[in-house]
Amino acid sequence: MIESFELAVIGAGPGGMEATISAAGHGVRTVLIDSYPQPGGQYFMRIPTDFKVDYENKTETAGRNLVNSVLKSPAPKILNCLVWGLFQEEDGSWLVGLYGEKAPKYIRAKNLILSTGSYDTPIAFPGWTLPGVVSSGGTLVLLKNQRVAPGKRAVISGTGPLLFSVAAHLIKAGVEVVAVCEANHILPRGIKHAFTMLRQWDRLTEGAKYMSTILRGKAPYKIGWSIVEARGQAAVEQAVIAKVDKSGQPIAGTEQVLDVDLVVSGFTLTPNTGLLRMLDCEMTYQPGKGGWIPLRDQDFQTSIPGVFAIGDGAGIGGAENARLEGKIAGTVVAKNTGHLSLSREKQIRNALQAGLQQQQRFGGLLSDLFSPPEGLVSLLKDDTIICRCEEISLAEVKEAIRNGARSIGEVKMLTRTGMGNCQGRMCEHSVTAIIAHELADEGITREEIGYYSIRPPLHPLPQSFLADAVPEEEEKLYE
Amino acid sequence: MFRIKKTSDMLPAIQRGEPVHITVDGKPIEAYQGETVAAAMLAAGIHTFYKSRKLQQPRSLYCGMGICYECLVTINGVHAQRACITPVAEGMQIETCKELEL
Amino acid sequence: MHNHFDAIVVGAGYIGSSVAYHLSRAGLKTAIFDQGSMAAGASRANYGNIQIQDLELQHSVPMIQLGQSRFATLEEELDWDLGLRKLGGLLPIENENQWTIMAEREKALQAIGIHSEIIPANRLQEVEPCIDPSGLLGGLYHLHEGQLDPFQLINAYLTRGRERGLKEYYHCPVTSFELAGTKIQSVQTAAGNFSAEHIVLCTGAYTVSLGKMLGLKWDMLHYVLGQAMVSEAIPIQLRNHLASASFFEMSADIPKGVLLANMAISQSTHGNLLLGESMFEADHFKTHMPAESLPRIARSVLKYFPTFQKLRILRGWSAAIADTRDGLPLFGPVAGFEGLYLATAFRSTVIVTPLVGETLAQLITSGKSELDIQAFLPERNAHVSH
Repeated sequence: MIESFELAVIGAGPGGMEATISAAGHGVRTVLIDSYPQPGGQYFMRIPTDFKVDYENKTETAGRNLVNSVLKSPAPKILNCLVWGLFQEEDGSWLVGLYGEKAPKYIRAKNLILSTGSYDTPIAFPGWTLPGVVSSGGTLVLLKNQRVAPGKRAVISGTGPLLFSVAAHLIKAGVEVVAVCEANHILPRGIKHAFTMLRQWDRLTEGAKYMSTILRGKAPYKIGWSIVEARGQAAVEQAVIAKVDKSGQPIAGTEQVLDVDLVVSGFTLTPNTGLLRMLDCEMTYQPGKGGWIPLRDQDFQTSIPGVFAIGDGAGIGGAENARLEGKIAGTVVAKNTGHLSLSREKQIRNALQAGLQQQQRFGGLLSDLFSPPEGLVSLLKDDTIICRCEEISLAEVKEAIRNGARSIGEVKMLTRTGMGNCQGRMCEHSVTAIIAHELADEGITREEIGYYSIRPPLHPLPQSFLADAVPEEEEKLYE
Repeated sequence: MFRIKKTSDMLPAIQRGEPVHITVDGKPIEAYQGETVAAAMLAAGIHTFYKSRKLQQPRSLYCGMGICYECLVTINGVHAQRACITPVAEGMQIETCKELEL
Repeated sequence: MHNHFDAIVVGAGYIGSSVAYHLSRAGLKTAIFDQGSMAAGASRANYGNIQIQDLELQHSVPMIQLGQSRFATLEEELDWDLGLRKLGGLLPIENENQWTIMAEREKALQAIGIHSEIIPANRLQEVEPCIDPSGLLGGLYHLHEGQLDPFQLINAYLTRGRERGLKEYYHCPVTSFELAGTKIQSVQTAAGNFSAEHIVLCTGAYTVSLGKMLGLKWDMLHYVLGQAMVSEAIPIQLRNHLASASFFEMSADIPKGVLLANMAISQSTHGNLLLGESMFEADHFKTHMPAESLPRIARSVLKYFPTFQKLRILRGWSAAIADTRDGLPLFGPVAGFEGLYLATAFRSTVIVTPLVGETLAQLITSGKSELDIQAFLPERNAHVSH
C-alpha cells in the first residue's frame, strides 16, 4: 500500500524542520524526507550518533534543539532516502518516488514543501578536477562532522563570509592556511551596508571570532585575489593565485605559486532546484539569490498550486531565513488543509513578518557584496574540463556556440555537458557564463540561455530498483 | 589529510565510534563507526576515488555532500557509491577506480 | 519586403533541418522556424538509428532503399563527424503470433533484396551475446542497419545551411498562416510576419495544431507521448538495435490513458544504453514522465537483458511522436494550398532524413522528384473543416 499524507516536506534542513514542526503541530498529516541519516541539513548537521562530544557552540545547541523538536513531532521521518521523482496524479496529489534501504518505494501527498537547500557554486578553473580541490561546504562537513582535515597546507579561494569560517576551522584543525582569496573588491562596496550589518550582531561576533583566528593563524586575507590554477599529477601540489580586476579577470603578471595540497573553492551558494525543474515550476533568474529560483507568491507557493519552496533551495537567504519561511509555509499548508483558521494563520504570520524582512535585507546585502564576479570565466583555458561527468572541455563548448548553440539546452545536445551523473549541477554555472561571455556582443540574456531541464530519476538509480518500483503493484501490496 | 587530534573551541575533541575493519583495494585502513567512507579514505591518504572514463584522470571528493558524484567507489561489489555520504561498516570492502561489472 | 523568403521550413528536427539545408543548397533563400530550440521535439528523444526493421512493406521500400544509399557519402558531403557506425537490428520473438508475422516479413524483405534472417533462440547469442534467450522463440535479424549521433546530424545540416544563407528563428512558434486565394502567403510568428513562396511543415506531432490553423485535419495523423531513458556509459556491449517483435502486434490506436511498454534498446555512440520505450495517447503535449514509465521500461528491458540489472539509469525523457494509422508519412504538396508542403510522420525518420530533404528541394525547384511520393500525399486522408 502507498501511504498518503496531507503534506510531504522534502529536505530536513532548518526550513524543512520548521515547516514540519509547524504543519504537524497544527495537525496536518505530514511526512519529512531527507537523504541523510539524521535531520539537520548542511547547516545544522549533527555529528554522527556514534561520535561523542562534550562541548557544543551556540549554533550547535540551536541545531540540536531544533532536531530534537522535529524528532519529537508526530510527523514520521523517512531518512537515508533520496527523492528521485515527483509525479502528479489525476486528483492533483503527488506520488513521491523514494530510494532508500528502509524507505517505502512511494508515498503520496496532497501538498509538497520543497526545502532542498543549496550547494557551493561550482566555479571551473584549470585543474579544478584534481583530487585536493574541495568545495567549502564539503571541507566544513569533513572538519566539523567527521573531524578529518582534507589537507595539510591550504589555499582558500572564493567569495563571501563562508571563507572566514572555512579558514578559521582549518587553522583550528592544524592545517596551515597560506592564503584566503576573496575575488570581489568588497571594501569600498561594503561601507553602505554597515547599518544593516550591525543588526546581525550575532553573525558579526561569529565573524569576528573567525577573523581573529585567521589573523592569529597568520593567513593573509587577500581581497581582489583568486585561484587561477591548481597544478599536480595525481593530486594538487601547487596553487596559482593572482590579483583579479573588478570584473574578476586575472591581472597578468600578478601570479603567485604556492605549494599546497588543498584548494578550497567557495564561491557562495547555488539553490538546489532539481525537483522544481522536474515539475516545470516557473523559474526566474536572480543572481543575488544564487541564480535560477522558483517564482513564489507571498505564501512561498510556486507556480504550481500545492507546491511550496522554502529556504536556500528557493533563493539563498541563510538558515534563519529558511526557518522563518518554513514556519510560514507549514502554517499556510495547515490553513489550506483546514487545520487552521484564516485569522489564526494571519496572526502567526504577522508575528514572523518583521524577522523575515530583516533576514531578507541581510540576504540582499550579502549577495550584493559576494556574488561571484562574471570575469572568472576568463580563468578557463581551452583544455579545461567544464563538465566533470562527461569530460567536456572549454574548446568543445565554444565550438558548439560557434555552431549556433545559444541556449544551455543546445550546448547540452551538441557537447553532452550536463548529461552525466550529476544532472548538470556541476557545470551549469560555468556553461552559462561561457555562453554569456561568448555571445556578449549580441546582448544574450540569462533567460535566453536558460537552464538544464530535469527529468526523473533525479539521481542515478540501478535499473533493478526501478523494475521493482511499479506504483500499481505497490498500491496493491498488503491488500 | 589526517584525523584531527587537536582540540579547540571551534572543533572540540570528539570520541569516535568503535574501530571497524574495512579494506580499500584489499588493504586494511583505519576507520571508526560513524565515519564516512570518504573521511576514512582521506585520513588514510587515499585521494584517488575513481578515474574519469575518457581521459583516465584521477577524481576525488569535491562537493562533499552527495551532489557531484566525484567520490564514486565500489562498495561490497556495488559500483558507483558516493563515498562522501556512505558510512563505514564492519567488514566493508571498498574498491577504487573500478568499472561496472555486469 | 524585408521578411520575404523563397522558402520557409517550420520545425527544426531531423526532417526540417535536412529540408532547410537542401533548399539552401539549391540556392533558395530559406528560413527555418521552431517553437523551441533545434531538435526540441521528437528528434531530441530519438536513438539515432538508421533502421530498416520497421519498414512498411507496401509503399515504402523504394524510399527506404534510396534513403539508406545516401548515408554512404553523407559525412563526406557535410564534412562532419556524425558518429556514423554500422549496427545490426534484432527483433526478439516471444510467441507464435509474432513468429508468423516475422516469418512473413523475412520472406518479403528477402524478396526485395534486404538482408533479413530469422534466428532461432539457441543461436540468438551468436548475433547478440548479452541477450537472455530463455522465453524467446528467436528473432528477426537485420545485418545492415546503422546509427549516428542525432544532434550532430541536425546541427551539421543547420550549420551547412547557415553557411549558404539559411536564417534560423528559434523559440519562435508559428501562430497563424495567411493565404491569398489558394496560395499560401506568409506565416505569423512571435518574431513577426514572414512571407514565402513555399512553406514546408516538418512539425511532427505538432502538425495537428498547425493543421487546425489552416482549417485542415489529416485523419491518418495522430501522436503518442513516448518515453525512454538512458543509462550510464559502459564499454560497447550491444551489436544491434533491438526492438521487441510485439511492436508489430500493436494496433495503430492505443486506447487513451493506457501506458504500453515494449523493449527497444540501442547503445549510443557514446556508450550509454538508450532504453525504451513506453507510450500513451494523450490530448496534450506535456513531457513529464508518467510514474509508471521508468519501472515499466526497466522491467521490459530486464526481461531480455537481466545482465543490465546493476546498470544505473541517469535520466528519462518524454516526447510527442507523430504517427499515422497506415504507417505512411505525410509527404508532399498539400492539395488546395498552393505552395504548402508536408514532410512529417515518417516511421523510421533517420534513414529517410537526407532523401526527404533532397526530394523536397527537387519538388520545389522543378515540380517533380526522383522518389515517387504518390502514396504519401497528405490529401489521401485530409479534409478541410472550415
